[in-house]
Amino acid sequence: MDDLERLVGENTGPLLRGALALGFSEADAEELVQDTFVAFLKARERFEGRSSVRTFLFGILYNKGAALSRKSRREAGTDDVEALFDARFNAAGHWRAGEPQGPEDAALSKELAELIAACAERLTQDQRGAFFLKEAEGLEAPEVCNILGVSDTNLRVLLFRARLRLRECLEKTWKGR
Amino acid sequence: MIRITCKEVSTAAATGSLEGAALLLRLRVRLHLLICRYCRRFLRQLRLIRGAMATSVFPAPAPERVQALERAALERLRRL
Repeated sequence: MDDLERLVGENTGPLLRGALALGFSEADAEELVQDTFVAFLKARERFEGRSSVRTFLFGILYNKGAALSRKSRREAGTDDVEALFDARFNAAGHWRAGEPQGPEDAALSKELAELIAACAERLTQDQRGAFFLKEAEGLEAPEVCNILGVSDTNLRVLLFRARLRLRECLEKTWKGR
Repeated sequence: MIRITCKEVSTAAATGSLEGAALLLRLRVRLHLLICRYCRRFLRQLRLIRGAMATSVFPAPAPERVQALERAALERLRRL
């Protein structure tokens, strides 16, 4: 097996999963993965080994993904979900009457997983990317920041909003089952 | 100050600040969770969401699809 085969063999699966996680169609995701490998070969001399090859590849993939969808790379301003979250607490910081409702199951059932998957459709591309890299790929925060090109604070905001949005959605859809 | 509010607990959990947090903060959160079932529910739901995201929302693509893409990518790269 030569270097090229190893590069492609070890990284195609994770990159394809990462591209699909951003919400791209299968055709677009596959094209993105191929373009990522091409860009990596062309930019190989810029790869200084400070991050892993996988992290470097994810960085290229997410840059290309953002360019493809022309989405803003930064979370700016405020988000409705934060106002919703703030309104749940009184001045002393305790839950108001609108305390969190919804499932309390300790284990993830098929029904719950489907509800959460439907809720995840509402996340922004950056939120999906951050969530995928952190929770599904299990990367450390500095690596995720490196890939997404965001600060640690920005990553926290992305994940904060994503988690709140998913939880609010889960509560609402759980009630309306 | 050992007391911590519901808002501080849920904010710390949702931003991910509890990962690798100082012992004192983790202790304050743990004590709070002993007496607050709403925060317990909030944190449990975040754990459920994390589990679902890792397994169901971002499933691994089918092996045959990955293999086909590997072949196509290799073919393209060798032509460069």
